[in-house]
Amino acid sequence: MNESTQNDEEREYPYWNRVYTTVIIYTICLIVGLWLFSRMFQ
Amino acid sequence: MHWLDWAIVAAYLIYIVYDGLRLTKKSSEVEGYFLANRSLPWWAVGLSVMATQMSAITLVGATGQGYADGMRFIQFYFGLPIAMVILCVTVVPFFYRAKVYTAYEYLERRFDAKTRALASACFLLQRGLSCGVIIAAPAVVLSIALGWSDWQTVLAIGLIMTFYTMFGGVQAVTWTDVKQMIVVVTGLFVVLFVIVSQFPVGVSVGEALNLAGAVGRVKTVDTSFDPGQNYTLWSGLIGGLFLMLSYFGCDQSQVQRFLTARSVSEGRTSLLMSAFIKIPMQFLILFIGVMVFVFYQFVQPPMIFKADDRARVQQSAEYQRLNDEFQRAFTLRQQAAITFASAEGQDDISAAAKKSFVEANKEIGDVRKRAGDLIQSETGKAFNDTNYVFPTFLTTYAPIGVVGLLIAAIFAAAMTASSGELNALATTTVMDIYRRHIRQGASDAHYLKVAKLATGFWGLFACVVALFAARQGSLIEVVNKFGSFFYGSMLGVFVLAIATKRATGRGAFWGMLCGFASVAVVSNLPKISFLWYNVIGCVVVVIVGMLLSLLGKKSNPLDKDH
Repeated sequence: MNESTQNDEEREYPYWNRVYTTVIIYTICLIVGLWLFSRMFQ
Repeated sequence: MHWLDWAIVAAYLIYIVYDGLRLTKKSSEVEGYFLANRSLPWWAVGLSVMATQMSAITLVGATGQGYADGMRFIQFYFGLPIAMVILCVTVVPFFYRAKVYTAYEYLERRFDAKTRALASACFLLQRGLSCGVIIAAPAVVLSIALGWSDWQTVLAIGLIMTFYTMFGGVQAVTWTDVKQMIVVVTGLFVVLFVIVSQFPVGVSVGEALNLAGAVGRVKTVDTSFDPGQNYTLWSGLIGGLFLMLSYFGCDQSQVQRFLTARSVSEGRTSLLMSAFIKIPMQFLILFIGVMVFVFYQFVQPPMIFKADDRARVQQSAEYQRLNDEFQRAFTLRQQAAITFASAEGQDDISAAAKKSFVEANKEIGDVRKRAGDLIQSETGKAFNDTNYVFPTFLTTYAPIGVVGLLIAAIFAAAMTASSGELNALATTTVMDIYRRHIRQGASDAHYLKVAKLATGFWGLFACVVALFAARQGSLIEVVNKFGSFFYGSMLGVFVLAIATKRATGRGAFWGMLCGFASVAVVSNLPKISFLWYNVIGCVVVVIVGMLLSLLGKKSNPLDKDH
């Protein structure tokens, strides 16, 4: 039982890693977008 | 206010009480009352996480900040998405699988009872006071907008919120948060449309942004590395990261939200919802403030937005003189704004028009500053009327129906933030204090009864603090500053607990006390922004905690690592 839970969790890692990478890339894009927005109207 | 607006506010408040009480039957045992039997979907938990973080003063204060200072405040949230990723990897699975009711419960398993007691006592003290402030700040603003007294608005927010939280527990908190967030977000989009539709003919959103940008109102990223500046890219990314890690990972009012999720995955997704939505949402709130600023380029604003302060000085000769000067300065700025807005595409005219507009805006700012100084000399208190800009705009220029919706949204934001905190205060009181130190092994029904009493107690406590804070405006700042002493140190003790194997209870306990002391010292130094307190507190706790743990081990070789 414990082993199968652990295996499930291991299978989940690549999925969550992709999600976390997406969040980081999204945040960088958001900050760059906000910086460009400031520049456009300054 | 028109009767229709009153009807909307009344209908909203009645519905929230009904909706909260409807969920009472799902909270008939302790796990249901505090953790909703770990059964809630990620989207409801995610909305509740955002609702608990967004108090009414965020809504009203941030729009005022957008008006007075522009959009730089958005940098405060830059560390949030990264903090959410770190928390999803570390504390969410950790707390969820540990089957704890509170974050502090884990500290006893890892260290000892005194570290848990210190952390939970700090949480109760700090959150108990801040819950009162969360009610007081919008109550003062709403009392002016509605023409009620302070105590009426404090009781309207405090008692209604206490009532449904006391009987419905975390189920009521979460599901009312969901509905209240819908009211808040709808209200924000409606008010943005109302403001933009009231711009003079020929002034588009692009031209409005050009006007706001000319006087620095759309600056969203400041790359300077000045520790004295409250909001820069670096203070947001580093200081904000530490603050958000502490708030979402170590503060029971937020930890309890994701512990109610159906699974670890749903708990993670609920936090990542904030990572995606929080910055755009804060952008929207600040953008509304900037659009109010542009609106007041064409329509004369009051020189002082805070009506009771204005009433104190408006009979004086000095105020009359300043008001005449303000009217002249406004007329000049209005003409400069119209010229600048209509000169788009004509570079030579545009540059000259921009220069006159910037100068006219500076002049009006100088007059307002002198009026603020006059009020300060009269009242003896620091003057700041940014929290009154948005409610003044609403009650003066928003159409019938929209005023009611937005007043309901301000009530909603106040209740969502304080109900989550109240529920967390009751959980910590029962689980970390009552069940641990006063009465162990009692029945579920007994703890449930104590939980409801604790919710009622903290609700009344918050109302009393709010009534006191509403009359002593400076107390709000004191309580907020007091709160910032704890965040970094709380984070530090959880870092010691989760990230190191060598830390001991002695190191964690004394490290935490040293963290509080270091932030108290640093807060008295000039030129260090409050966001950096979190970094300092956390680092001091980790260093002192590790040193004491290692020294303790050397002096007592029989100690074992955890």
